[in-house]
Amino acid sequence: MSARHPSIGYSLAVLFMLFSASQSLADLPTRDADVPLAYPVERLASAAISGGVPIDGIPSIDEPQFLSTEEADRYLSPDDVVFGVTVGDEAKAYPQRVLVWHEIVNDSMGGENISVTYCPLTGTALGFRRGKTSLGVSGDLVNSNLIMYDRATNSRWSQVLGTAISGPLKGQSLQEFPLLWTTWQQWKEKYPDTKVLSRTTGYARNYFSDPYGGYAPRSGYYASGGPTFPTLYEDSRLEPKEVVVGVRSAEGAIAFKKSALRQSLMAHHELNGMTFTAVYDASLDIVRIYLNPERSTFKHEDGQFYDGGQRWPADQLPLQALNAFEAMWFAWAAFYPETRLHE
Amino acid sequence: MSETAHWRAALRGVVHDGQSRHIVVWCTPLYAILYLWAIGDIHFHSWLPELSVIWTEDPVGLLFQQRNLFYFEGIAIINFPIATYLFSPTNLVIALLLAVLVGLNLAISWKRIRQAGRHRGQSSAALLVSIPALLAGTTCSAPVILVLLGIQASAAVLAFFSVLVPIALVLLIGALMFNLSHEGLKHERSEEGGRAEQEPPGIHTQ
Repeated sequence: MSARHPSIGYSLAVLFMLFSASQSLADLPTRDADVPLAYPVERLASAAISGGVPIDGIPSIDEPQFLSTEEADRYLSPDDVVFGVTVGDEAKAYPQRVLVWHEIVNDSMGGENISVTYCPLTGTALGFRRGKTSLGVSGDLVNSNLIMYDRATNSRWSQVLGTAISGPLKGQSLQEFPLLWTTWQQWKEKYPDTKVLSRTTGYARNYFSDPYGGYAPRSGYYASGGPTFPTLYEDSRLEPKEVVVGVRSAEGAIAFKKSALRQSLMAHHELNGMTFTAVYDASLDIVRIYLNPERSTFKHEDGQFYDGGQRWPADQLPLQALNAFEAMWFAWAAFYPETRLHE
Repeated sequence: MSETAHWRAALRGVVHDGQSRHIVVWCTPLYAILYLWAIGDIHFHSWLPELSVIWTEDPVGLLFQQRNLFYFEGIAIINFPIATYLFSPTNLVIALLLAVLVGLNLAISWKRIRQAGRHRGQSSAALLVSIPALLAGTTCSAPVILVLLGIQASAAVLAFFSVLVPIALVLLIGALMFNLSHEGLKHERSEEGGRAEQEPPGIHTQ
């Protein structure tokens, strides 16, 4: 590089950086509008600690194999927790008893590459689009929550936030898709042709043992006590392991107490001029949250929601559905200390 | 007598002593099983599956793949009637190495305690010598202790666990060398004393 033409070298360097960044973004699709955060990403990055395992010490499943419903019945119990995904007519279930040992499955559905992620410590299951790359377990945690890394840029992503807190893609947020936390019995009743993640993962694990406890019934770490690792904020409005269903938007963050919604079946919450409507879907034991700008009201009748004119199942209300997910209260409050709580 | 000769003499003493030999023979497999259970390679259960072996798809590739420091991936799942064993040859070698060291240390310590019992003035010293071996063994049992006590691990404790195996190895090898040296020296002195008793009077030269 001649000293008389420094601008050529500078231009080439900038072009190379722009090309690399665009390639990285093509490898990993991100949202147009980033997920609302309560902290600067630098604060989150500085709060990250080692979870006691090295990078990929908890290996992701990168070549998942699947079983039919009949084959899965041989190793799943009706009350086993599964994380369900539907794309068009395709349905897949990812059993918690497998994901507890791997935390991330890099899969594809509907011709699109996806990552199904689960953090046992915070009780959170989220789905992300991963483009041409794959996600892995970094071994680090923030607010006791899984920090993922992408294998294209080695950026570090908080699972709950779906946002890179360090690395070349710092501040970017991943595109999410709904991942439903339900039971095997309920999922296969609703989607009898579902495929189920196989225990043939390429690794030797005892998939009949959960190192943290159990979900049917809830026991061990999942049932009581506080977080194992330090968090940025503590909120005592609920017990730390109480399950809430959370949603974050430009208006703010709201958490609905799931056990309350099992009883009330529907709840509305006003936040900064916007109405959020949560409905309980008994078919899958999940909570669905919608934006309800018109403040439409519904009554629950015979398992469906009636607005005075038509009847709607819980998953098809004539409102904008939001991507809500379950979390242990301590984790939701740690990431969103200003969160509203609807009990 | 050289240090190595002391150690060989001490090991011969352990092998030839019935109680010490039994301690090593029984302690080694028991400790190895306890260690493998503590790290999660052995799971005990109440159901009775048929004996079966399920190999991973790439056992050679997984042989030295680390899950953590001194903790390696398994290459097969072996189902026994009351237990499931995630077979990792590398973890098994580490378990056996630790178990043999613990067994030898316990055997030598027990031998010294028994001998101190015959000579009361030396009993306290014998116990003190045996402590390093016992403490070294418990570092590997720390995860088990936490589980039994229901203590949730903090990040600091988990980080400490990752270096427990090398710490235990250093302590166990150091304790064994110390114990073997003392046993070997005592053996040498007892042999010298025996030779001195056997020499007839009048032979002493100036």
